[in-house]
Parts: sequence; structure tokens; C-alpha cells
Amino acid sequence: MGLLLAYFYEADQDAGRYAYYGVMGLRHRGYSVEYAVLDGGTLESGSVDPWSSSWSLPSGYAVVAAVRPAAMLAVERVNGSAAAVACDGLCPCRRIARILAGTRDLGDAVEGLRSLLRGPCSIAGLRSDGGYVLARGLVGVRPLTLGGYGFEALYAATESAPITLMGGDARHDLEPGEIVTGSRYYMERTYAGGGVRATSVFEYIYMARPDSLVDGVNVYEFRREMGRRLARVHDARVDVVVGVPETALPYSLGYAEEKGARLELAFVSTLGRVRTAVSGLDLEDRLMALSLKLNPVPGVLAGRSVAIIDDSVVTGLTLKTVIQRLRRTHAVDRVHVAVTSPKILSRCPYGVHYSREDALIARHLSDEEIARVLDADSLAWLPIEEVLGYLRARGIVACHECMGLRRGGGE
Amino acid sequence: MRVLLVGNGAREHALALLITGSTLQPRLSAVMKSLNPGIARVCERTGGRIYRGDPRNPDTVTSAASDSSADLVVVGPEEPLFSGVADRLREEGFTVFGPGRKASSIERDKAFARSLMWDYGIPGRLRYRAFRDPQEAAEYARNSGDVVVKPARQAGGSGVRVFAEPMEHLSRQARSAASSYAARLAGMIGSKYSDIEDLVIVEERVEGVEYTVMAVTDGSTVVALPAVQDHPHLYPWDTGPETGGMGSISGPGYVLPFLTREEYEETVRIIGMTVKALRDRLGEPYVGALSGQMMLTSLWGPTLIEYYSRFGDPEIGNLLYMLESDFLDLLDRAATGRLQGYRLRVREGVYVVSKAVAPEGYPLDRSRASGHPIGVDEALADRLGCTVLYGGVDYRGGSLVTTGSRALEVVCASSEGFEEASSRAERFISEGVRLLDGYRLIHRWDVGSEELVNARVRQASLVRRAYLRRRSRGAPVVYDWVPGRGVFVYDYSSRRLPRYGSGVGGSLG
Repeated sequence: MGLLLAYFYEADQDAGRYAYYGVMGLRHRGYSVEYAVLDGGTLESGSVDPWSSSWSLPSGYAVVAAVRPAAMLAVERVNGSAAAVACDGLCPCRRIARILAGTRDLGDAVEGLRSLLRGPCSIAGLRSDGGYVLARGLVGVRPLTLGGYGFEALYAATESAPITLMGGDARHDLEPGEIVTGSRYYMERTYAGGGVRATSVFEYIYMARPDSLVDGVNVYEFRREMGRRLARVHDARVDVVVGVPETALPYSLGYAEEKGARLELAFVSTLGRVRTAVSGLDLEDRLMALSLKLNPVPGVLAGRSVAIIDDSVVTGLTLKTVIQRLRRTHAVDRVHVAVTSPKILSRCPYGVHYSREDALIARHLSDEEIARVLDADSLAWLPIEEVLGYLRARGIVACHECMGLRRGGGE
Repeated sequence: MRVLLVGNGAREHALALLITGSTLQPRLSAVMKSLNPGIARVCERTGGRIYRGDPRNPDTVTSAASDSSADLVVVGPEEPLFSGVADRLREEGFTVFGPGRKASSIERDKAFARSLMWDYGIPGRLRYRAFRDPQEAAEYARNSGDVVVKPARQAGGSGVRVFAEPMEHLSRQARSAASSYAARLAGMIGSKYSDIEDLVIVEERVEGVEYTVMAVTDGSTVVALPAVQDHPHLYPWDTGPETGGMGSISGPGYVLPFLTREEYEETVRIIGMTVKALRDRLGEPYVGALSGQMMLTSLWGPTLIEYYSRFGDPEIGNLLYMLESDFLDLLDRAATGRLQGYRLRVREGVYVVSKAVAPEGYPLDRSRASGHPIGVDEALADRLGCTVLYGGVDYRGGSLVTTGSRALEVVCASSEGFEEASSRAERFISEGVRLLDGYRLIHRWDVGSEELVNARVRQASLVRRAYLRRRSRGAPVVYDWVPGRGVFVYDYSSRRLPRYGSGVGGSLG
């Protein structure tokens, strides 16, 4: 999930060397990156594992990339022209690539794309003639930020951190329906209609890096503030607060501050930052990944009333493992669980996260039952109204279809 | 008053309009290489003449001045100044607005401008190195990182490339790109120009909010004009290659929304000190326009990026709607050394937006951008209350065609705000101008937009906090350590730029 564009105006600049860092800044979103690089009139595509120890991108002056899962790259060749399109979310990516490759004039191609860009996706496309397209679907679920690198390059990415990692500055968040096209010689803008910024709530809660802005909202500040609000609704007496690395840490700061409790570093991760919930691993691998991710620091929690701040509870698998371990080998007194996400009740219809509905614990069990399953002394969820209210005040009518049983936009 | 205007760009079109607003009953003649329809019209209307010829040629200009019995010659662009047009005219006894060849070094020779600022302790100066040897330039650029590489000679506002190294992990890329560009640029400038000593400047990269303050001076008194902000990036949201300027905003009053009165006044002081330094160094007064292309930086606050020895383009166009004073009177007083005690009158509460329109291909591939027939609906501009300024156009075979640069600028003013002025400019651009062969025109729809102005206000307030904090700790001293060479101390309170290599031994003295 997530996409990237790095487009240099001068052909002697190697976009691949910059995009390398952009891809690093997106890799928490998945396990495989598909790319296309434009060098002269040649479009070369491939895929890399950004978590492996050595990988690189071919040289060229422009790069598009998509992070799997939930985003893909389509490459089409028509009569000697080629186009590569990175699609984030749900849209007919191959058809879009075919139209981009098969229409001589980029402006005409965009006319043909208008109706295909109504869906819940954002795209970044490159043509072998040097044209590019950036668009955010009308539904507005998937964000896309445009940025610049001096007089040298145009950048775009799903969140702002990859842009700054490539040395650039984030400059503009695309509006739903906004289509930006250009080449080294021009830039134009058109709209496939207007829509609201129904940015996926999952971006703020879980997916984006805390050093990013998503649609202009500072992700770190959002999370710390949500931690405070979560503490306010969590009826529990707490001595020590611990956050499950790494997403939960900003929340833990706010939670501990509000509770007036000590924040401890209690878990050390041996893995990188790949999201275990979207990692696409099978169950056994995930369990292994979890124990690597959450190795407890000895002696910190013994005899304490501990609040564990976790970033999401989908199946409850992560938490149960952690709590069992804390009780068994670390002699905690009480374990209170505060979840920094509202309850996830259904599958994401836009494929932002893959959760089987029969595996969503909050959909099937009451809080009391969940606490019993987790072996927790209390359980609190981040209230959805707090999240929506905070974002609405910043111009975002966040999509939360997986957290309510109704369509995104409203409540 | 008989006035001869030298030059045929949008800047000179704006000057022609400003001059004819005078009560001194100007009769305007012009020396033009390509025929600017706007200037030609003003000449016709006021009963002046048009001289077709190279504005850079002192003979051509002097004979036009004699033929038109000019009371005042106003030199618009920099190249005629560089080629000594103003000196020659003065030798022949004409009254001239525009500095001589030596004084215009402040623009032509970037190394001269930088060293002058260090020698005279003028605030707002950057660390830099100038090079003649391409290999040395390349080596220095490789070892510095986070630099701007630019031609040491003014080259039509292009050739500047920024090699940002905001983060350590990008340093290898930035350094190798800066190094190879420095060498290439030195070769290019060396083969094209022979009127400067150094070929390339490598200077520290600064970030912040850019603005221009133009001033008119007789060499003693400096009359500062309202601040204007140019937009050098080709594309919206400040992306794209560097251009000569794709639009500018000014107002309300002297300062822009993201600039404080103190910052403006400090800028004017920098320009004043420079005028004085020039007089001292060259032994002659600087007469004409001196424009400071400034940036509000976290290091210094108002910092000089470069000087222009003329009015800025598109910046001058904004003044069409900002000045109450008689502009010709101002130029004439400057040219005759009578500025002492002068008070400029500026219209309050006016927001001005200027937008440039260029054919696709500008500035990376000028041949692609030239030779396209262009149609302009000036009546629409009139109805919208806006002014069209012609730039890179000429008559070929009876029709108006593009010459590869920015073809025209449209200037609109509003008492309501930038957004309103901008929307009228947008309407003119979408309905009132097109290339008749169907070729694409480009412009920046975001100039004057709330999104952009607000972003500048935010950025300026961050920068302001940083430079005020730095100032509260005293005059800035910057320490650089070059492994193997030692520590270099850039003490901005002293006037000495450390010599490269002088840091050996690493003394912090």
C-alpha cells in the first residue's frame, strides 16, 4: 500500500538513487516493491524486496513505484509506446496503463482516464515519451502528496516522509478528483469532479510514519493526542505505561502524560518496522515475527499495574501472546489494555487492509469476552468520535468503513 | 521631456507605461532588437520614434539618442549596461538612467558582488568560493555538499543549480552531481564569455522565503520601492526548473504578508550600504536601479542571493498599480543626482499579481519555444482591468511570434486580495491568449493563491524564529571543519573571508 514518483527534469540525474530512499520511507507499508524506471525512451520494470540487505533501482531520470500489498504496478506496451502506472487502492490499473500507453497525446489520455479515476485509489504513471500523471480518485480514500526537490525534480508519495527522505519538500496534497499531468516541459491540472478528503483513517491510526504529514495532518501529533483522549476514557489505575513498538509509542506518550504514569521502554524489537498485520505472513510466521518484535526488558514491570498500549487489535493474537509472556515471566500485578484504534468490525472494502471478517475479534465478541480472551484486567478502545472529530476539524472526513458498519464519509 | 528607452522586453514595456504616466509630457522613443508591440504603441502615441537595432551596441544607442535629442536615456536590460552603453552615452553628454559598465559588475560578476559585501562588512552575505579552473570547482563542490553552483557571470537568469544535501544519506548523490555540474558549467561560461575573471561560484545553500527589493539611486540617496515576490520555479507549488520568473505578487503597501517592516528596512539598509561601497570601490556613483534578490534565511534574516543592476522582471510590472509618484520624475532625478529629500508615494491597500505566460519548452529548450504565432486579446485585459506586458515576442512576416522566452505578462490589481487579482489574471490567460498553431502555453495558476501565500507566511515565521534566536546570541560565527584541512571560521562580524586551506592545524582563533 503506497506509491512513489521521482521525476527529474534533467536526463543526466539519476532518479533511482534518490527513489531508493523514497522506497525505504515506504517499506513499512509492505513486503515487496514494484517499480518502473524511465531512461531515455526506455521503460524498465521489476520488483525488489526492500527489506533485503542489498537492493537497488536501475538508473534513469524518472521512477514510479508501488508497495505491495494493496498497491500494484501495471506496465503496458502499445505500438512501441509504454506506460507504467502505480495504483494505490482499488482501480482498474491495467486499463489505465493501456490507455496511457496507447494514446498519443497525454491530454487526450487523461480525458480517457477521467471515468476510471472515480474509485478509491491514487495513481502515479509514467510514459515512455516522458509524460507523467498523478491523480487522486474521486472517492478520496487514498492520499497523495506532491513535492519538489529544488529546481531538479518533482516528487510524489502517499505520505510526506518519503519526499523529505529524498531531500525534497512536500508542497501540495492532491484533492479527490485532482489530476496533475506534465513532462519536463509543462505541468497541467484538471479535475475528474470534486469530492471530500475521505482519507483512510487507517493511515493516521496505524499505517503512516509518525514523521509524516498525511493530507496536511501531522501524524505524530494526531497519535499523541489520541493517546491522551484514550487515557481519559480508560477507567484504570496505572503505575507504568508501555507501548508495543513502534506505532504505539506516540500514543503511549500522550496516554502516560494524561494518566500521570511513568512511561517505560519494556519491549525491544528485533525486526524492522514492517507491519505484522499487513505483512502477508502465514500464522506460524507471524507468531515468530511477534516474539521477535516484542522481547520484554527484564525487571521493568514486576509487581506493577501496567497499561499496555497497542496500535490495533484485529485478531487479538499480538496482545494475547504479549500478556501471557508478561504474566508468566515478568510477574506483573495487573495488565490493562488500551487499544489505539477504534474497533475494526469489517473488512476494508478498498483493500487498505486485509482482514478476514471471521477473524475480527471485535466483530464477534463483547469487550468483556475479549478481555477474558486476552487475559487482561481491563480493556479500552480509542473512541471513533474522537478520531473523526479531530480529523474533521482539519478538513478530513475520514473513511472508517471498517470501523462502522456503514459507508465511509459519515458515521 | 524626450526620453529614449533602451530594450524591448516586458520590463521595458512596463517602464514605457510607467514613464508615460508622467506629467512631464514625455515623448518616448525606443531602441529595440525585436519589435515589442506594447512599447511601439507607446512611442507612436507620444510622438516618439522606434529605432530597430541591437540595444547592446553603444554606437546604435548613441546615434538614436542624438537623433531623438533625448533629454533622458533609460537603459532597461543588463546586457547593454555590461557592454558599456551607459558609459558611452555619458561621454557623449547624455543624461542616463543606468549604471556604467564597471558599476554593473555588481550584477555581471557574482564574485565581485560577494567579495564587495565581505570587504565592506555588509550584512546578509553568504559563504562562497569563486573558481576559474573547472577541476578546482569540481573538487571544491565535491567536498562541500549542500551548495548552489552558479555561473560567476550573469547569464540571463539561468544556469543556477541547487545541490541540496539536507541529509547525510543523500550526500554522495548531491556531491557527485554538484561536482560534475560545476566543471561543465565552468567550461560553458568560459567558452561563452570573456568579460569576467572567475567562471563559477560555489556558495552555501540557504533556504527560506524569497523576495525582491528594487531601489532607485543617484549614487548617494537610495529610494526603495515596495517589496515584490517573484516565483522562479517554472511549475506550480514551487516545483520545476529555474526560470527568469513566472509571476510576482506585491502589496499591500511596502511589505508583503510574510515580511515584517523591520525586515524590509533592513533590506533597504543592505542596498544602501552596497551603493556606498560601490562608490568607494569604483570611485564613481552608481546611478540607476539596484535590485536585491533576497531571501529571508534562518542564518541572517534578510540575505542577499544576488544583485541586479536594473529593475527586476516581472517585478517591475507590479509597480504599475502601486506607485502614486511620478515615475519619470523619479528616474530623471536619479539620473541628474537630485534624489536627496525625495519622498516616494505608494498606494496603500492594493494587492498586485503578475503572471508570465511562456510557450512550452521554455526555459529548457528554447528552440522548441520559439517561432509560434501568438494571439492576444488586449480588449479582454482592458475589460478585466488588467495590463498586458509583451516580452519574448517579435513580428515575423507581419504576424506576432514567440521568441523562446516568456511571451507576455498579465498584471492585475485588487483591493480585495491576491486571490481576486489572480482569478482575473487566470481568466485572461485562459480566454485571452493562445498560440495560433495550437502549441501549448504554460503559466503558474498558483501565483497569488491563498494556498501559496499562506505557505510562505508559515515558512517565514519559522525562519524568523530561527534567525531572531541566532541574533539574540550575537553576530553569527560559523565553524566548518574540513577533514585534513582544519577548521574554517566564518566570522560575520569581521570582514575577512577565510582563505581555503588557511584552516590547517585546526586553530579556532
